[in-house]
Amino acid sequence: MDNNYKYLGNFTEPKDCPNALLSNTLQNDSHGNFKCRVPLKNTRQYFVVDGMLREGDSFVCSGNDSACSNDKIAECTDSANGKEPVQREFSVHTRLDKVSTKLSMPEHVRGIEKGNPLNINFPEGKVVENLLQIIAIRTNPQKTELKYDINITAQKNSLGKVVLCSHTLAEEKFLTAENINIKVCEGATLDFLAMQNEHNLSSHVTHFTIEVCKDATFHLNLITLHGGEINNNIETYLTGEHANCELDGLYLADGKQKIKTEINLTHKAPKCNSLQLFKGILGGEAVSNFSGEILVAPDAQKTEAYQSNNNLLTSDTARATSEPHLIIYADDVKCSHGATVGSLDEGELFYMRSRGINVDEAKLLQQQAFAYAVLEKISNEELRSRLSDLVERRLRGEFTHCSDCSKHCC
Amino acid sequence: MENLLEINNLHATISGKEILKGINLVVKPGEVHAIMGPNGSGKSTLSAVLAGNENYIVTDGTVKFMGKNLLEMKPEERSWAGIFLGFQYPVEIPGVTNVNFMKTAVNEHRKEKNLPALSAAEYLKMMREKMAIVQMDPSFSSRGVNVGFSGGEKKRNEIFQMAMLDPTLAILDETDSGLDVDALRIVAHGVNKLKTNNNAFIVITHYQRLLDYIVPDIVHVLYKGKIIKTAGKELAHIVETKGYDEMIKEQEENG
Repeated sequence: MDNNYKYLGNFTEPKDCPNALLSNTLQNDSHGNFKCRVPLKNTRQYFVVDGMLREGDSFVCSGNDSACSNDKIAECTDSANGKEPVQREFSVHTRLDKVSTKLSMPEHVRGIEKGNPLNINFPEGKVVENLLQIIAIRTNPQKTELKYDINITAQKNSLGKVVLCSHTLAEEKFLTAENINIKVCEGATLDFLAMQNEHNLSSHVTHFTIEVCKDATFHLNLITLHGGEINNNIETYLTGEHANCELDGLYLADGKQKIKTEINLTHKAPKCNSLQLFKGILGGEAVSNFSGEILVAPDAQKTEAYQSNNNLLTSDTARATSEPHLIIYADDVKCSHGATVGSLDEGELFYMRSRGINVDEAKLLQQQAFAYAVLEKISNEELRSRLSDLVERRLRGEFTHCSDCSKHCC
Repeated sequence: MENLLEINNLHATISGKEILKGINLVVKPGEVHAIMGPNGSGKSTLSAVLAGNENYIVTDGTVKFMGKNLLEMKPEERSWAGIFLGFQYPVEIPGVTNVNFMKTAVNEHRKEKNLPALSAAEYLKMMREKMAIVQMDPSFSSRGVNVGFSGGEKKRNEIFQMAMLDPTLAILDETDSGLDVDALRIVAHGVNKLKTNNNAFIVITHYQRLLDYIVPDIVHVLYKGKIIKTAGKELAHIVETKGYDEMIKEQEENG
């Protein structure tokens, strides 16, 4: 196997996975099962396999069944090209309270490629505490380029929590371009966590367009664990008074990986707050470019906007650039930015080693500590601990395919 | 009795500047040595060299610890072998909790001895016992290592760590600096509690005050990178009342 795929793990029959298993019927020859351990009890999952939404998979959830009610939050608009949803049989294995059940149900498969987006809508006033998870998998060698859109709207006074995970399961050179359009309407709250975990040959461009309206709150956690070339473009507009926006990101890269983060955040309305914290750990010959712009419009008085970008280089050959831009047209604002690029602290390292912590473990602890500042911002405790675990494994280099599962997943 | 530590003609430099200029010192199990001396005499350098700080370069001499060549060992290997350095300025490590830090350290020591890692419950029990020795509140365990600790809390944390790792030779570098009388008593009490016939301490200090609580068997005065005087505990009293001047003059006349 090419070194580029060293994180893919072995394609052997998996042992019994503790969570739900989904047999991958899209691959004729594969008996492999895909598992995602991020979802928690009561998570509603949507699988997007090579741009095809598999709605039926929303039944795959463990624990409390009420979370799987017909209360439809995500809905797909009819396909633009007029095709009817395809009905197909497939199997879902679930393990509920350790009792294994096999269900058979119709699957609605349809493309969500350009012009035919996946729409997620949190209706007005509705509070949905359970996570809604979109698992985007690239696996089809015949389809290496893909563009799709995801629209998420949190209507007035609603609350929603969305997790988006991106994976590559086959060894092809995948190119993915996704547009994620988010609107958080008046008084609504939306938590959005994106986890990017792809192999070294993948190229993934994500463009976020985010609008946060009056009295609304939006929180982004963007955790980039792995990927060949990752480009995150985050365009954010605060359009109503007292809009609140927090963007947090952690990117980990080594080898020859490239990570580009571009943020354009515009305060259009007065009395809004924004807070950005982006941190990166770069080893090998990895390159990170961070560019963060905060623009405060002329009448956006009483704006508070803060941005920081910190990079930790763990090798002499890793590179990080950081370009903050503040463009302020209002005169009564509090804005600041900070950018650092540094290496591991020698004093800390010696202190730990003098206590018998070997040098590799000491470096790992330092990196975890560095990453922690971003991870602690994940409000859901279980999700936070799960992602901390993934980050640790990633930093250990063992990566991130589950120890008890055959496929490269989270 | 076999020597625990044998330092022979030790020379060391930092950034090209020679700080240690021929140290000779023998420490036996059960002994408490005090090293005193004016600022800049090389006391902290000696402790850093013994702990393996790579900023210092040993240019001459040998150090044997329990028969092994200490200078060949990495800092972590020295710790596993039984050396502990109590830092004059304990390092703050934001984001690494005390519990995670010490648990990792204890388990690395156990791994080295082919012992299984401690379970969470076993660790907690041990931690509570050792924290009690220095009257440290268990709530400190969930805080970042030394982050936001007062001077006294940091030094207590050093002694707590020492108790957890149970070293054969502990070097305490100005553990008394920045301590009020109560904290000093707590720290000294901790040290005395951990003292046995099989381990040894090197206590580096400016003041007699600490040596009232931790009574040394042997006192050395270090000056310009050499030990210029070695005697019993009464030497500390002489330093306290008369200072170093007389000794230094005597040394310079002889040398």
